[in-house]
Parts: sequence; C-alpha cells; structure tokens
Amino acid sequence: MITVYVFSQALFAAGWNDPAVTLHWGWHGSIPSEMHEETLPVRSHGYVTLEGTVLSVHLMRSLSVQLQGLVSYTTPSLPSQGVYWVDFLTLGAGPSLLLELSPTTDIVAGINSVLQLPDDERGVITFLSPFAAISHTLSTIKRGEIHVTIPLSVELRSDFTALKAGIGITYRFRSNAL
Amino acid sequence: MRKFTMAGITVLLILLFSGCELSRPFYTTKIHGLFIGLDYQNSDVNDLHGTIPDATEMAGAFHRITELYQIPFDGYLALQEGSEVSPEHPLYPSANNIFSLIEHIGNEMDNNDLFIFYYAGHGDISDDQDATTGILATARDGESSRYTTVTVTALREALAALPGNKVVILDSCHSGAYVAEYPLDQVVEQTLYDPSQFYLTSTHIDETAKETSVGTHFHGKFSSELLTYLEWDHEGTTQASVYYDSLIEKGTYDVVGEISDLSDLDEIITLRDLEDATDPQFGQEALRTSGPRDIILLNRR
Repeated sequence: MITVYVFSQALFAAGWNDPAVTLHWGWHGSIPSEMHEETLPVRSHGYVTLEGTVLSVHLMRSLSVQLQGLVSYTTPSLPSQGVYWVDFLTLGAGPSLLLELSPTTDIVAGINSVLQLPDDERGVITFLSPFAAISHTLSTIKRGEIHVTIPLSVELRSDFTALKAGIGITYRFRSNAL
Repeated sequence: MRKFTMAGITVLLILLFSGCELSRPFYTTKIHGLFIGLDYQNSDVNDLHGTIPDATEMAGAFHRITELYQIPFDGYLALQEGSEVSPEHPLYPSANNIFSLIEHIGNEMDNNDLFIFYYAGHGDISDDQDATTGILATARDGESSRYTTVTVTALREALAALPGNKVVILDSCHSGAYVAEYPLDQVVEQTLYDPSQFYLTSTHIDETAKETSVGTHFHGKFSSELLTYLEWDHEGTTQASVYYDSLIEKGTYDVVGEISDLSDLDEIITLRDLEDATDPQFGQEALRTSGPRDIILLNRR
C-alpha cells in the first residue's frame, strides 16, 4: 500500500492528473486537391485511433492543459471506378486544453503533430492535425469515469486535406481515486 | 445520452454519403490489355530470351483470370518474335504501330474501363540520368536494322488521350525512368504526373532487369514473380482468346501454362499487391507510382 501511495504521489508531482485512454473510430474523408483530378469531392475511409493522455495539469478548477499521444490506422477508401486511396498508419502527439463545461460534459481542443509511417516512395510524411472533441460521462466507477466521446479533426497535409469524425469511449482515471 | 449518440451517428452517415462513392461503379467494368514482347532477333540489338514467354503468358494469365473473375476482357498480343514476322503487320510492335494500337484500343474504351499496357523488352536511358529521357526499344520499322523507340513523354501523352484509367507495367532495364515522382508539394510545373496513369516497373532508373530460367524456358525475373503471384502454373496450356493476328477478330493463341487454382488469390488484386509480390534482390527492385492513390486491377464478381 505504501508503495502504491508513494508511486501515485510521485505521478501527481510529475503532473500526472486525470490521465485518460480513448478508443475512437469513424469516418476519414480525404479531400483531393486539384492535381488529383478526382471526380469525387471526398474519398471515404474508416479509421480507428487509440489515444492516451499522458500528462494533465490543472490550470484552474475547470481548465486543464494536457499532452496526448496517439496511434491511428486508416483503412483504404471505398473504391470508385477502380481507384482507391491507400490505407496508412500514423503516430501523433501534441498539447490540448480540456474545459469542463459541467460535471458530466467536457470539451477538449488541441493540435497534434502527426507522422505517417512510410509505405512507398514518399517516405515518412509529417503534418499537423488540429482537433476538438466533446465528451459526456456515461458512468462513474471506482477508479474513474467512462465517457462517450465525439472527436473531430483535420489533417493539414501539403498535398491534400482530410477530415475525421468519429465516436469513441474514454476511460479517465480520477487522481483523487488512485 | 441517446440523443448525443444518435447525433454522432447521423453526422457520420452524412459525411459518408457526401463522398458520392455510392453513386458510381466501385470497380472497373472492362479491362483492355496490350501485351508487347520483343526478342530482337530481326534487329541489331542483343537478343532477349524471356520476353516472348513474358508477354504471351501475361496475356494468357489475364485472359484466364478475368474469365474466372468474370470481368470482360479484350487482350491484344503484339509480338516481334524471330526474324520472319513482317513489319507491315498491324500488331508488329514498332513505335508507330504501338501508338496506333493505343489509339485503336482507346476508341473502344469508356470512362469506367481500365487499360493495361504491358511491355517486355529492352529499355534504356541517356547518360545524364534525366527521367524524361527513358526509352523503350521497340521493334525496327521497314527494312532498317535499327530499333525504334518510345520515350517517357510520348507514351505518357498517348495514354493521356485515352478515357478511363491506365496501368503501365514495364519489364525492362531502367524502366523506373517512366515512374513520375508524386508531387507531395503540389508543384504546378510537375508535368509528368498524370493521376489517371499508374506505373509499375521492374527496376529503378539506374538498374538493369534480369532474366531467369523457369523450367524449360526463360522469363524476366520481374514478370516471373508477377505470374507466380497470379497463380500461373508453367505446366499445361491456356487457349487465350486475344487479338494477335488481326485487329478485327480475336483468335485463339495457345499459351504454355495455365491457372488452375485460385484459392490463394484475394478477391481484390491491386497494383500495390503486384509490387509487394516482387522480391527486391540482385540489384533490381520494382518501382510503383507513389502517392495516396492506387488502383484495383482485378475484383472477383
């Protein structure tokens, strides 16, 4: 017990308050540029993302700054006339702000720096991805809370832009419950 | 809570339908293939031993696999084999005839069709390694002993005039010269990149293509690997229904080899699958048009 207590206090001292793990999935829309000469305005993929808030520091009673990391897989797009947009794997990290709108509703906004793992001659691709999410507490359990989350994000690539919208589940540890 | 979830699902559905993929055919409706092979026995260029089996067996494999996948297919076989073939024949693969064949096939295509241009023969580049100077060494014309050439630019322009999507598969030395770099930065002056053209080549620009023996005959190493991926068995015979003697009427061309078992083949075969099927070794590595887009060659119906 003493070890757990000391460890948890050390985490608090390092700013580890209310860490969270989120799994979300949904629609990824690649918006082709003019050079792609696509007949479709958007290419529809699916995606799944596992995201972890690794650092969370309370600035005020209802406002926190966080640092999150993620790994995400985006599926191949639906084909059209035989052409499809390829699948890819990304890693990302970045800061965000979390605002507690009410005891059961949070809103978070931030920006991730994302790295797409190489799969062809393009090599590693990097881009920024601003995002926002709203979450609602589903239930409170012994060591934390379970939320339903609706995240939205944008991928600001140099050759095209992509939008992501999904739905997910967040498990947020409560520091006072550790 | 229920309203919250329903709102999220509704937004996802709206976004999914905004892409309009569901309003168009998912897949290619018909495949047109031009399969070119040259052994150079009627010219002053070094003879090649694997190119005729490459082209004929690739045509046979596509004939058979499209039959099994139930995809309409029109194949053209353009061979320069031995020293007896007449340069006057419409399917003799001189540069002029190749461009005429591309135009002829283009007249048969519509926007949902796919054109596959397959070439097995010599390729070269000039010493300055400029990607725009890659050439395919096509058959000599008339009485000359010299081969004719198809440049990167000429091939790209000829294919650009066709409707639908185009896949170019080249088994030749330095064929990587034909693969335009994907413009990651949307460079406006990028003239080589054409989004309707997808290239897969046997080598990078500075590499030479190798031949290998398979049973009793030779193949290009690259083509041999593609045929293996397509479950091509070098035993048996396939009666391929292709245009090889006339542009008016298909004939039956007996190809050595067959596809008898499709159980290991995926329902959908993409150009990236073909690239992944090749083995980068002996100083030869396949190169594919990069970028976020790829094309489905075959889908089982």
